Amino acid sequence: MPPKQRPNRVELPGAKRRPDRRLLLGLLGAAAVVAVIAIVLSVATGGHKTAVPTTIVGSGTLLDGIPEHGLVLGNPQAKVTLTEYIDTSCPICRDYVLATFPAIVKQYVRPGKVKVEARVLAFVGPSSARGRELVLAAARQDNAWKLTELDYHNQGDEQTAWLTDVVARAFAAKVPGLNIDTLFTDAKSAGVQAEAAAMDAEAQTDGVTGTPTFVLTTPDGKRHGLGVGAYPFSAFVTALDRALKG
Amino acid sequence: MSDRTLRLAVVTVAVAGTAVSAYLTYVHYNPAALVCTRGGGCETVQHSHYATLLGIPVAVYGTVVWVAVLGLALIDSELAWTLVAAISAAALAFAAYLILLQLTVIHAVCWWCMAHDTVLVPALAVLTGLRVLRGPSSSER
Repeated sequence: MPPKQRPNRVELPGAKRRPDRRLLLGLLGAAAVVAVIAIVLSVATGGHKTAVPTTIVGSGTLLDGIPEHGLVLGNPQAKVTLTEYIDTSCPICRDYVLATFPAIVKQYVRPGKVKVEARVLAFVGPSSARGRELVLAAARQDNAWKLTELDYHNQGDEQTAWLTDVVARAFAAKVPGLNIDTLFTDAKSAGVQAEAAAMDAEAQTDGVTGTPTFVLTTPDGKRHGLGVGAYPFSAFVTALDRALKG
Repeated sequence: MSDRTLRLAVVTVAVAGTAVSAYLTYVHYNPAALVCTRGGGCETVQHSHYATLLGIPVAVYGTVVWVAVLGLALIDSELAWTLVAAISAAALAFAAYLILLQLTVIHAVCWWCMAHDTVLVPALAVLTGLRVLRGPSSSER
C-alpha cells in the first residue's frame, strides 16, 4: 500500500489568511514608537514656551509715524473705525497681528482711511490681566500700540504667568518715549482698573465671546460685528472697502 | 460578528472620525465657525499651544490618519487590517495623552475632541483588535 500522501495546501486566489504575527508585532512596535515621539514632541513644543524671551523682536517700522491717541491708532478723523477686542496672552490674536494686521496698517491705517481702536480684555490666562493693565497704562502715554506689538511678537505660553515685570520692563524699554516708571505706576492705578471694568462692560454690549473679535464702525456711526478669529486680510478688505464706500 | 459587519462598523467609525477631524481642522483656521458649549472650553483647547504639532494643527494629522484608515478598511486585506491595528494602537495612545492634557494641563474640555478621543478612537481600536486577533471569519476563509 503506498504511503498516504498529505495533500499540498493550495491557496485560492483572494483567500484570506490570519495576519502574520511577526508583522503584526513589528507594526505595533513601530506604532508605539510613533506615538511616543508624537507625545514627546507635543510636550516639548506645546507646554514650555520660554517665559523670558532671549531676544525681543518687534514689528520694525510698521507703526513709525502713525499717530496714536490713547487706544486709537491712526488718523483721528478717519470715518471708519475698526475696533479690536484683544487679549495680550491670546495666541490667535498673535496670529492675526503677525499675519493680517501689517497689511491693514499699510493699506488702510497709514493712508488715514481707517483708524484702529483697541479694547483689551483679560480672560485667556494668568498674564492677561497684567498685559491689559500695561497696555492701558501705555495708552496714557500714547504708546499702547507699540507695546502691544511687542507683547504679541514675543508672547509666552498663555497658560503661564509669562508677562513678568522683568519681561514687561524689557518690552517697555524698546518703546521710544515710554516712561517705564510712570507705566508701572499707572498700571496699578484706580483709573486703569476703572477703564478695564468699562471695557469688560463694552465687550458684553458688543456680544464678545472670544478674542480677537472685530467690530466695524461705519461713517453713519453704526457698529457691525465682523466676528471672532484670525481672519485673513482678504476678509477685512471686503468689509473695510464696503464701509469706506458708505 | 462577520467580517462584513466588522468592516462596515470600522468604515462607519472612520467616516465619523474623518468628519470630526476635518471639522476641527476647519475651525482651527476659522475660529468663528466653532460650535461649542458655553464656557469656552473648545476655544481654550483650540487656542492652546498643544493644538499644533510641529506647526501643523493636530486635527490635520487626525484627518490624514482617519482617511488612511478608511482607505485600508475598504482594501480589506490581511495586511490592511494589520496596518489599521497598528494605526489604531498609536492613535489610542495619543488620544489618551490628549485627554490627560485637557483635564490636567489645559484645564478645559473641547467636547468635539473628547468625543473623538473617548468614543471614536477606542471604538476603532476595539473593532480592529477584534478583527486582527480573530482573523477572517470562517465563512469567508
